[in-house]
Amino acid sequence: MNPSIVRLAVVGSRASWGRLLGITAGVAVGVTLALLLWGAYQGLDARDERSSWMSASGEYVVGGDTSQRAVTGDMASLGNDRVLLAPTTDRHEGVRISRFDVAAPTTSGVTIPDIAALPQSGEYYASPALIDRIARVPADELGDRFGTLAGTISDSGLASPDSLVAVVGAATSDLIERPTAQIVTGFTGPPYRASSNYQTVAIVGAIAVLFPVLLLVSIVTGLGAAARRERFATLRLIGATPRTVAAIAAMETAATSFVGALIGVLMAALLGPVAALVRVDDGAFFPADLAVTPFAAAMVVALTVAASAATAGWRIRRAGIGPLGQTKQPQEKTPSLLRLLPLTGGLGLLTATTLAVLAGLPVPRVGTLIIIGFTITTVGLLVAGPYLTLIAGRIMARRSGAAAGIIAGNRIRRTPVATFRSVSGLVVAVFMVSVFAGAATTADGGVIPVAGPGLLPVSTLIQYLEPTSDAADPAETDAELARLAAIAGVTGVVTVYRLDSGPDAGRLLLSADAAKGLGLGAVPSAPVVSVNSDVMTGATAVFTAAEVTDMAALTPSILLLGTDGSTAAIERARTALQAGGVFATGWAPAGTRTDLADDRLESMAASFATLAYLGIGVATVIAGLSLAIATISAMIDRRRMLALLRLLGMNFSGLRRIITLEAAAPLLSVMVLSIGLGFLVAELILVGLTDGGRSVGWPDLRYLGALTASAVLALAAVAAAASRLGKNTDLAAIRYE
Amino acid sequence: MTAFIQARGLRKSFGTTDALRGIDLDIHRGEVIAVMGPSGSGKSSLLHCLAGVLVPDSGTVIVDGVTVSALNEARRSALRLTEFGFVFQFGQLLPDLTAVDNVTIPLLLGGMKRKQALKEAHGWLDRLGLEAAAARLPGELSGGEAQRVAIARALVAHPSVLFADEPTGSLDSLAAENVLTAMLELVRQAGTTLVMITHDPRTAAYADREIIVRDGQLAATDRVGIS
Amino acid sequence: MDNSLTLLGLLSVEPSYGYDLKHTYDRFFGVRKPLAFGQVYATLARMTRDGQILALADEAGGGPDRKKYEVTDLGRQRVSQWMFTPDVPSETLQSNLFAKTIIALLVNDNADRLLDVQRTEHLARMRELTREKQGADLMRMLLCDHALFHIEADLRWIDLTAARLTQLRNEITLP
Repeated sequence: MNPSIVRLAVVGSRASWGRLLGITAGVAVGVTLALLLWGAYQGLDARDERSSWMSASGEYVVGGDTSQRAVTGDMASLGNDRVLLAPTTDRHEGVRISRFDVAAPTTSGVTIPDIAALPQSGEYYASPALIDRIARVPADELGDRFGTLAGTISDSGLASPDSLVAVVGAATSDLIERPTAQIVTGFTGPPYRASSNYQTVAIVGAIAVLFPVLLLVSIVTGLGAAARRERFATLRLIGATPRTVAAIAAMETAATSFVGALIGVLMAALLGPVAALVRVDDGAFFPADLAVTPFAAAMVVALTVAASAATAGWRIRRAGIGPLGQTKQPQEKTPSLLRLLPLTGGLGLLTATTLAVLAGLPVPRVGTLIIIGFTITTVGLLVAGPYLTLIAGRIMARRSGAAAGIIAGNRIRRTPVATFRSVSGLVVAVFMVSVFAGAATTADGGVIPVAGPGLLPVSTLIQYLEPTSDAADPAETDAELARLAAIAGVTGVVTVYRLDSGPDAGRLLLSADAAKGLGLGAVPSAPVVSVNSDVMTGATAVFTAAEVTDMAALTPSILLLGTDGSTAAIERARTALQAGGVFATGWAPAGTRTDLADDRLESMAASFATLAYLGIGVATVIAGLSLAIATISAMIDRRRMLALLRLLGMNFSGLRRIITLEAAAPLLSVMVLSIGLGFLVAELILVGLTDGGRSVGWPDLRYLGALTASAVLALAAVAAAASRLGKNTDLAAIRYE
Repeated sequence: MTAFIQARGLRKSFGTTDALRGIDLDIHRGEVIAVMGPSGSGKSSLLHCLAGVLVPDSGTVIVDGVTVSALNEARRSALRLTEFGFVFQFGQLLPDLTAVDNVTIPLLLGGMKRKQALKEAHGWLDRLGLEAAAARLPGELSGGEAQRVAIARALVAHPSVLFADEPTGSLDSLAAENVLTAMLELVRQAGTTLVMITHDPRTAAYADREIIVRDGQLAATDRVGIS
Repeated sequence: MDNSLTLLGLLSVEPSYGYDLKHTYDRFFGVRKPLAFGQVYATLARMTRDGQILALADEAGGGPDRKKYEVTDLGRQRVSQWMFTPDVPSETLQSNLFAKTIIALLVNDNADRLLDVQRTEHLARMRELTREKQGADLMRMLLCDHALFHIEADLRWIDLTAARLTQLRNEITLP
């Protein structure tokens, strides 16, 4: 083919340059997002791999080791191939710290890959973020919990630059009493795989963002299609074969999308560090996590170019451009009721899966079924869109009494597929945002514990003690309690006891004086009183007289440290508890009701809510962009008609109304459906994945914000398009085009 | 008697091309005028200036005492809606609307209720022998039918002036004649002023008078004061 | 076509001998049917009698071919009147209109205007015929159409000639 023909056919005018620029920009945005998503997916994998040493586990030693090589309080009993490990989750100012207490002899052959040598008792290694934090606050609030810094945990052992991790050396005798202590022979096990639920949500999220991107690319490649069809018709008239024309179209698109894809790769590389700042699952990424390998970049570029060129060629061939061009606009096939089938199918699959799970039937691969069901539902929504649009158009064309409504209504009913395509991105975005908002409601409910009369103050630290551990020397215990009570900001120390049997079993016991000191309500006059145990999780306290009367017979179970509520006081108390050692024998370090609630509610939906909103935000912006481009593109293609209406005496506001109605009718008709479907699907996914454990609640403000943002974007998109009306309705167009 | 349409000293250029180079023209109420002249002589520019579609660089257009050339775009839109009708060579019907819906547009723009507008539109289609075509889309009409629908739409709001640009340019002789006689009959009945551009002398012969535009000026015989 | 008025027109370009006049005439209009000498002299004699031309002083005495003729004011008026009076559209019109156009170009008069005047006349006739068609029976209508198509053909020639006047003027300048 003669290159100059291609040049003439492709870059004939300024308008066609605009079209090529539009395609390039659209493809660039699409490739950027695809690469970042791909990078994020790999980044999450890389994270799991790096932090795999943290999930090392072994046999618990609770209750004493009975094996042949029993581990005892003596370090030497470990030998050189075993260490004692006690992992806990500590907190500082509400943020989680992963703490690993390790007991190992200096000669131990067991290593953690990212630490020079295992710390000895009194030493610790910490991640850079934790070291910064320790340096930032007074030692009695954080630093005293750990001992002497021996070194840094390198980035290659951390999930995120924000990770707060400490590996603390300890004596075997200290750890062996801990309920979490286990015997570990190595820290290089296979990487901890995220749960399949976690992956399900991640894949669903990726689909949510990729859909609008694909739509955007499909819309930009259709830019200026009408003008181009005419140019191609001219080529056919002077003798080009349909093959030649298809080849020209393919080459044009291949060249533009290649340039676009290269720009996309560049932008992905530039934006990687910015995107890395997004906190996913409690931490940002290392920039290198999101870096795309040259191989992946080449693959994405090659795929984009091949797919877009093939589509362009195919579209042109299918359009069947003859030498005389198309005197009439291509007739769209009227969408039929059959278009509702995939949507019904997808919903059916989700419903069936959920019902089967609820009924307790053995359902293989629930996650996969849910992804498939969700994808079919999303595609089904897009397939059903034109049919619903057609209905909306018909109603509007029949019912409207104004010229703008009749024109827009008839336009919609004649071209429902094209009309819906412009808004499909927003429809998908709203559907997705509804799904995520619905799913996230379960996490948000009750995250913040309430304070009130009769409730344990949220500023009170709760230290669960290990009931099986022998009560230490009472004198030492009293001295320890006095030390805690003397801490600045600590308002009181109360020991709570428990009985394993008898009428008081299951309730919390404490002395009447201590109970009065808590100030949680009326206390009956008895030497020992009992209180309901769920007072620790936020229930109202109800005191009754206890059966037992002798405090000395009871085992300490919980230590309550009242504070003045300041962060410094809470952290000082927490640090003092850990530094003392006497009470640091529980499953976990002390925490307030807020901290403990946070631990309980930490769920996949919660950790993904932010990410989901971010993804949806990106998707919504892209969808808005698509709507603007599609509206402008449709306006350019119908320039002559709009000019004609102006000639008939319609003013600009009338024309704007037509354009707005053409975007609003399909949006409104499908939007309500997609919101409803979104919540239904969220309910189905949640119930299906959690075995009925969770269900959808009321959406929060962020959701309303997202919906408002979508509406504003849609308006802005249409307004942007309408602002170009003047340029595109030159009355001279009537005669000369 | 002052003329219904008065043009004085009309000049208009597009870039370096002078489309109109000083045109003076009087057209009386109810007159049927054919505008002739070679391609590129400025016929269409003249029509567009008279109809307020184009604003002349200098000179004035007065229609029924209103200085069209001095109105803003909104006022000119309103004037086109109430006073002017337009017919072109082809492709002026909205492709998504049926014939009868196309005809109702000017009435709806003028604020008429849809039911009433449909009744009126059907009346006009009947008068033009298009009863059977009312529910069809423009793509399903023959060239002659489409032109008659366009004429119905141009006249439905009872304009005082009908501007036609080669209204039969894309039709064969017989279809052209049918469309013309139909249009002329309606125009004469209503006393509408018709300004019609045509290349075809046989079309021009339906006019009361023709004016010839050459190089952006009227031919000598047509200048105001001579005829 | 009116031979005498054509000759008068040619004479109004410049004074000429009868012999030269015949050859000029033949060059423009006599390609197929040259003018006879006798007819030229008879016409010159009649025009002299009518005061439209006059013979300049004999240069060497002798026959009519030795006389040089010049157009008078009356003659010029007659030519101008002829040129700008449109002919009734008819099938024999064309040669006369052609002659008028050529003469107008030769005497540097307004040929454009001449064609416009003729166009107006043609269109007026077409309007008459079109009016006659209204309500006439089909036979009458077809007759009118026949006439209309012929007049239209003339008009097309007029339009084409009008568009080519400059070119024509350059081609016919007298030697």
